[in-house]
Parts: sequence; C-alpha cells; structure tokens
Amino acid sequence: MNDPIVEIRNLGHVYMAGTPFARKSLDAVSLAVAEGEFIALIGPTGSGKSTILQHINGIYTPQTGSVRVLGRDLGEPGTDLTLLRREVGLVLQNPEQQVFERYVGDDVSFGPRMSGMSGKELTGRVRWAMDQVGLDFKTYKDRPTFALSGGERRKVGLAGVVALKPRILLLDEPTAGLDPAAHEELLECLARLRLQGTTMIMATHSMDDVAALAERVVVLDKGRAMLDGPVREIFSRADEIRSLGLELPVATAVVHELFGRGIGIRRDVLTLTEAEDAILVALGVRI
Amino acid sequence: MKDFEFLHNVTIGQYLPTGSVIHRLHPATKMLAAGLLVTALIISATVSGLLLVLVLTGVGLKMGRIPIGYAARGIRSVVPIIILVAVLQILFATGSDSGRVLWEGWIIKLTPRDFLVAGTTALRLVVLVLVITFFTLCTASKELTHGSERLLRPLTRIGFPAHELAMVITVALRFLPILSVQAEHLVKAQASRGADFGKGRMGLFKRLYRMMPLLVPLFIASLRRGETLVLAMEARCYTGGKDRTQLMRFQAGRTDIIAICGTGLVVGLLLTMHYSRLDEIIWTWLN
Ligand SMILES: Nc1ncnc2c1ncn2[C@@H]1O[C@H](COP(=O)(O)OP(=O)(O)OP(=O)(O)O)[C@@H](O)[C@H]1O
Ligand SMILES: [Mg+2]
Repeated sequence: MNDPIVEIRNLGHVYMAGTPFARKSLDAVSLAVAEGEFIALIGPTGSGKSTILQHINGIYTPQTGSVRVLGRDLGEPGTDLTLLRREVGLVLQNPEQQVFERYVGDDVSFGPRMSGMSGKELTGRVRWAMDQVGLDFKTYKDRPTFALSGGERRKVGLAGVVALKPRILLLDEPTAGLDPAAHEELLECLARLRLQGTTMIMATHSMDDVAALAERVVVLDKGRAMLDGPVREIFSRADEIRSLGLELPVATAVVHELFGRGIGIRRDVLTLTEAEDAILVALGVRI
Repeated sequence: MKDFEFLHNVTIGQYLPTGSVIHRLHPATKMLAAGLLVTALIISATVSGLLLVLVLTGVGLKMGRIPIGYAARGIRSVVPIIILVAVLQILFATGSDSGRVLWEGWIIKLTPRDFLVAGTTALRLVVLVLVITFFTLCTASKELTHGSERLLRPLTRIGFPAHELAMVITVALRFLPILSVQAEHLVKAQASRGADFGKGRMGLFKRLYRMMPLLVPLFIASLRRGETLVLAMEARCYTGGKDRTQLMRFQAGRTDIIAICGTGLVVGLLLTMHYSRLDEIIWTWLN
C-alpha cells in the first residue's frame, strides 16, 4: 500500500486546557487514511468527530501525539498551514458558520480568490463548483446569503470548499437537515467527487449514508477509536455498535431482526437492494 | 494564529460556578460592590490605590475559589490595547512637568513622569479588567437580572423601566462570550478555505489588519443573533414590567452587609489616597 495521506498517531486533545472548563475530547486516537479512501467517522454526540476533522486541516495542532497530512507534520511550527488548508477542505458541521460572505457567488469564490485566482478562471471555477453540488449558477450567484434556506446554505458551504479542488475533503455531517431529494442529490455529488479521486473523511450520524458511500468506518466513543474496519465487517458486529448507542443502517437492521426471529438469512447486508435479495433468497424465491 | 479557541482567552463575561461565599452573596450586593469599585477606579487612579485593589481582588478570587491564573488569562486579550494606550501616553502626554527630560525632539518630550503616567494607565486598565472579570466569574446571568432590578427598584416609582434596563444589561454582558465564539467560528471558516492567518506569532498590527475582514461579517452575525434572541423571547411570551414574578428569591444576609461595608471601606481608602495625593508624596520622596 502507498504511504498514508493522513496519519494520526495517539492524538490527544483537551479543549480549554488550563482553565476550569477543561474538557478532554480526544484520547490517544490513531488513524491512517490511504489516498482515495472514503472513510466514515461515526460515534455518539460529543465523541470527538468534529475535533478530529479540525485536526486534519490544521485548525487545531496536536497537543499530544502527531498528525501528518500530505507528508507534512502539523505539529512542526514551520509547517505552512494556510497552504495545507487549501489542499484539505473542511466543511464545518454548522452551515451557519460556514457561509460568511454577503452573496453566494462571493462566498463560493472566497477560497480560490484567497489562493490568488481571478477573472475568467475564477468565474469558471465558481460555476464548476456550484454545478458539482447542484446549485444553478445563474439563479444563485447573486442571492444574498442571509436569505438562504438551511439546505441551500449547506450546498453553498460545500460548494465553497469544493471550489478549492481539495485533495482531501473533510465533511462534518454534510447531510443533516436536508430533504430527501436534496439528500439524494448530495450523496450523488459526493460519489462523483469521490470518482474524481478525492480522499474523503465524513463524520455523520446517518448510518445509511455510511452504507451508501463509505468503504471503511471508524467508530469513536468518548474520544477513543473503538472500532476501525471495512463497512460490512463493522456493521456485522451489531451488538457492539448498539452497545455504543449507535444504530445500524436500516437494511442491515431489518435482516438482523429477521435473523433474530429465527429466519436463516445473510446478515452482511448494507443497502436496501441487498436486503431485498437476501430476503428473497431466504424465502426460497430465488436461489 | 495558532490558537483558534478564542474563548480560551476571554474570561470577561464568563461565569464560573464554585458555590463559594462570594458566589452566594446577594446579586445586588455583588453589583453594588463592583459598581462602587469601578467608579472609584475611574475617579481615582493612584498607583498605591491600584496596587491595593489588585491585592484585594486576589484575595477575593481566592475566597471565590476561582483560580487566579484563569481570571488573569482575560488580561492577555487586552494586552495589545494596554500597550497601545501606554505608548501613546509616553509619546504624547505632556505633563506640566518641571523635572528631568530624558529625550526631546519633534513634538515628543520624554520625561520620567510620562512613564509613571503610562504605567498607571496600564495598571488601571489591568485592574479594571480584573475586577470586572471577577464580578462576572462569580455572578450568573439570572442573578444579573435580579440584581439590577433590585438596585433600580427605587426608581420604578418615578416610572423608570428598571426591569427592561436590567434585561438589556444582562443580555449585553452575556453577549461578550457569544461574540467571541462567533468570531472563532468565522476565523475557522475563513481559515478552512485558505485565508491566510499567518503561522505562529504575528506582530500586533499585522494581527489587527488580518482581523479587519472579520468585522463586517461578525457585526452582521451579531445582529442576526440578536434577532434570533428576540424571536426566542417572544416565542416564550416574554413581557417585561412590574407584574413579573420571580422563580428564585434572594435573601440578603450578614455576609452581604460585611461585603458592602468592606467595599465601602476600600472605596473610602481609594478616594483618600487620591485626594491626599499620596502618589505625589511617594514620588517626590523617591526622587
Ligand atoms: N469549542 C469547544 N470548547 C470546549 N469544548 C468543546 C468545544 N468543541 C467541542 N467540545 C467538547 O469536546 C467534545 C468532543 O466534541 P466534538 O464536537 O468533537 O464531538 P462530535 O463527535 O463532533 O459531536 P456531534 O456528533 O454532536 O457533532 C465534546 O465533549 C464537546 O463538549
Ligand atoms: Mg460534530
């Protein structure tokens, strides 16, 4: 295997260190990501998902342990974090935070402008990025950002990061608060970016998204990485997942339930189509 | 800029519940004491008086079981302002001074007295910040409302909107930490998209310059925040006025009397030091 593109070793982090409000958020987390992988970070609320993501693009630098991204050591004082962040895009959890310019077009173009792009090239890039996330350039570019709906704001936020053409894309609950159609659209968009070779790390509470997109899952709990492995394998350990207060993808949960009622059925199922097949096989309709 | 945790250094406006004697004082007592002290510090600024208050604040923090290091952290964020003010004082303040001149040229005349004045101003700012920090650290926001209402109650007879004013004061004070969180989010969002916030430490002016693009979005965000607050209050059918009853009742006791008398004594001392020109006496004696 190639060298990992992200390598986290024994990373520890305490928020508000040295104050009475100090709060441990990461406790010796290790994680290696290969180029082109799609990794899902799951875990209960407050387990440290967002904190890890913010360490990968250098918003936070390691207090203990080390983080290497794209061959750079983020703990090293001389590392140029600005350049790093242009290659490692982070879409923040809260779209209210993500979008800060007054007009959609300005907001999406912020990243490329910061790295010195201008004129036709810039317009082209903005149009491309908005296209990627399914926002019509003409309709949206002059919309004031304060008048966006939650879902639109999410898309604008994503477009603003995609516009940088990052090699690594960090997504913090990208599908929260979207209607089913927009949700579907966003998943497609992520799948497309994935095909273009972008490495992705996505924190999420939606197990169905994990099943649909990711190839590997890392389960966090109280700032520790509890499980790490291929999606199918991790979700087959239903009891461990549930004991952490997490759910299974709907399709997986259904076949597990059927199995629990004494029906002989395959359980390594992730999507609804797979579940259908498994059920048909179990019913003897199809062999 | 390495540290994106702004709240880390903003202690003014924070509340730190420890349940100490100081915390349990009647809100009106705490407000009155803080108000008196701040007024005294504004009227009189003698080095000896400032040092006295500094020491007493230390004692107060100890009694309040608030780590002194934590309270002092808040000073860090005002250091640039303090330095700026001090430098201006040294360069441009022209005391009616007869003593030695250290350096003279253009419109600038440096005398030992300038340094004394600048030092006093700096110390005064530090002490003011500390006293106010101490006050907010030991006073919860609901107490602020109660306290200011209680203090202003005598004025309601002449139609003064005591409750409303109390509410305004409370909201304003609690907005400080919220603002800094907002600023933190904004910096994170901009940095994540490759805005250059430099690496490591930066000079004061470079830092201020980098902060400029933050101001407008921050202002807009706070306005929006205020709007949300209004909505939230209306949604809970908030109405001000004298017909409101209170969930919590505070009872003043002996400790309150002691605290007020103590503060009165200190304020008296400060004013005496000021009017007896104690500093002058020490100064001439030192020369
Ligand atoms: N800015 C902050 N200051 C102080 N503590 C924080 C801050 N951000 C997060 N924490 C704390 O750190 C811990 C981990 O938070 P984090 O945001 O990484 O969790 P998460 O897994 O992303 O949760 P969620 O699923 O709710 O987004 C939590 O206990 C949280 O309270
Ligand atoms: Mg999170």
